[in-house]
This record gives sequence, structure tokens and C-alpha cells, in this order.
Amino acid sequence: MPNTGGEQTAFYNDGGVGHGGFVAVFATAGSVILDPFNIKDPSMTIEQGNQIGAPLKQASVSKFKTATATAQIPVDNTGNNPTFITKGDTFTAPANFGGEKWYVDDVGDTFAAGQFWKSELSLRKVYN
Amino acid sequence: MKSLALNQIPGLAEAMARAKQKQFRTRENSLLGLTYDLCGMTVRTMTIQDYVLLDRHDSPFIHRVEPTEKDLALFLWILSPSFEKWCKRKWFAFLQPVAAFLHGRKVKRKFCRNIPESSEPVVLKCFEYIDTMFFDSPPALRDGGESCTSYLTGWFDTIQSEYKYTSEEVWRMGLPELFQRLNAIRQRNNPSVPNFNKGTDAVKAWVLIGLRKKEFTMEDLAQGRVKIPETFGTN
Repeated sequence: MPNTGGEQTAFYNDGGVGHGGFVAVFATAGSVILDPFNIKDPSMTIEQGNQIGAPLKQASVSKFKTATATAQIPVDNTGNNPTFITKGDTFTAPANFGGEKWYVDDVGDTFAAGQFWKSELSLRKVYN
Repeated sequence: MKSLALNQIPGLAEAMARAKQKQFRTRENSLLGLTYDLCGMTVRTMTIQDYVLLDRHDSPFIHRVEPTEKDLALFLWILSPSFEKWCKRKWFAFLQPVAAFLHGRKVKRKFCRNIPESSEPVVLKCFEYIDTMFFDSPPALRDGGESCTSYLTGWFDTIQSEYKYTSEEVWRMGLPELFQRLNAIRQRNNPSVPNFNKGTDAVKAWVLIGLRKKEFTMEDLAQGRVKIPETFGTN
């Protein structure tokens, strides 16, 4: 399917016409669209007070990164034979989503509306 | 293999925007109680009672199978504004079969002279209308258990538990409005269920199917070598 150019590409897009998702290539499930994909980057603060508890020192350290995503599950062109995502499957996010490697920690119930299938995923960053 | 952000695929943002706009209008229309023009025949927004009536007549339009000319005439009659007026009429209501006959004859003259060429456009329009009516039909749980109640009980119970509607008002509720309300109730009570947007989901599904069937690669998508169909959000 060649791109004949011209009308299908905007000559200017300020990013307002956009969406917060990407095509993730899972190690087992293959291509899946994750949209939206929301990263949670929590921190923990260590506080040290003086003898009466007034602030003296503090340090903030990162906690484990997690993410949630809605996965649109691939089906064939009849809307059948969905490829379900399993726990432990991994993928690497694109650079503008941090470029980090994630694994599937939890897969929510799978819902279908017409020919579309979706699941909510809980993800955790792979550190090693 | 590397993942690819959707907004880095040339042409996809525009296709998504068109689909989103169409989705927005379809949903806005759902509460306006509009009439629709199907090749010159006017039909109302389908209500729950229209749906039940069509289902009881095994309308092929509900079950997505090929209709006969009688099915077409019945479908257009049940959804016509005239049918609703005849049902409410106090005087000469016994003349309704005559009105139905005349309406059917009009359909036959207009669309059934040279089947299938003459009837195909209106049949396609009817199926398009059905797609619009069921645009927001609520998602179902995969492998969900067998229900012990009628689908109607589910609809009435959910709506009447949340809103002060009489049964008569629910019967007359348009299907698009019903589905929008059911989705709003579900989002309020169970936000963990994923949201479905059939317009933009279709664009994403097209990408996934193309990758799965190896019609193109991620590289092709990223380099803009794939032509995104311009039909998304336009038909």
C-alpha cells in the first residue's frame, strides 16, 4: 500500500490532534495498542527531625515505577481469534514514553464491544 | 522490536481526528431525537419498543442478514414517523393496515423495480443506520456467565435505578440515548472497565490487523509508507 503523499499528512500538527498511545510489541502477544498509557513514578521521602521533631534533614528516593494501560487486543479481520495478553509478557515503550522496558503484572477482565476487544493492564518497570 | 507511538505514524493523527469528530457528532445526535433520511425515506431514532418489534419480526436488519423486499418495507414502516402517529391515533386507528399497505407500495415502487441494483443503496443505508443506533452498545465481559434475566430487565433496571423514569418513558427512549446512559452509569459505578470508542478503535484495529497480516511493518508505518484509508470518519 504505497503512500501517495499529499492529503493524508498534515503540513503542520502542533500535537493538539493527538493521542496518548502506542503500538507495543510484546515478546509473546506481538503487536498490541496501548492507549492510554499512564506512568506512575512515585517517591518516598526520608525525614530526620531534631530532638523535638523539627525538620533537620531529608532525602527523597524513587520507588518502583508502575503504569496502567488499556490494551486493544489484536483480532483477525473478521473480529475473531483475539490474542490475549498474559502476565509476565514484556515490551519496551517508545522513546517519547520513556523508552523503558515493562512487564505485565496484572491483566484485568477482557471486554468485547462488537469486533473490538480490550483489557486493562497493570505494568511494572523492568529494572534488570 | 521497538514500539511505535501512534502520533509518530504519518497520517494516523489526521485519521484519528476525523474518526473522533464523527464519533462526537454521532454521540451528540443520540440525545437530539433526530430523524434520518434513508434514500428519501424518513425514519425516526430507533426506540426500545421499535427494537423489540423488529426483533419479534426477525428483522434481518437486526440480525445482519440479507433482507427481502418485504423485510425492507416492514423495517421502513415500523421506523417511519407515520407509524408512530398511527399508533397514537384515537380515531380511525383501524385504518392503520391501509396506511401500512400504501407505505409498502411506495417502498416497492421506489426501490424494488430492479432488484438488487435498485434496492442495494437503501439496504446499505439501513445497515449504516443500524450501526449508528448501536454505536455505543455496551461492552460484554468475555466468557460472561448466563444471565437469569431478560436483556430488557437489565436495561429497565439499570436506567430506573439511576433515573426517575417511568416504564413508559424507558420504552420510548432512543437506543443511542439508552446506550450512552448505560455507559455513563457503568463508568460511574465501575471505572475499571475499558472505554470503547468504535470510531477511533476502528483506526487502531486497522493498524493491528495490517501488522498481524504482515501487510506492512512498523518501519513502514513509521516512515509513512502506509496509506491510511481516508474513509475513516467520513462514511
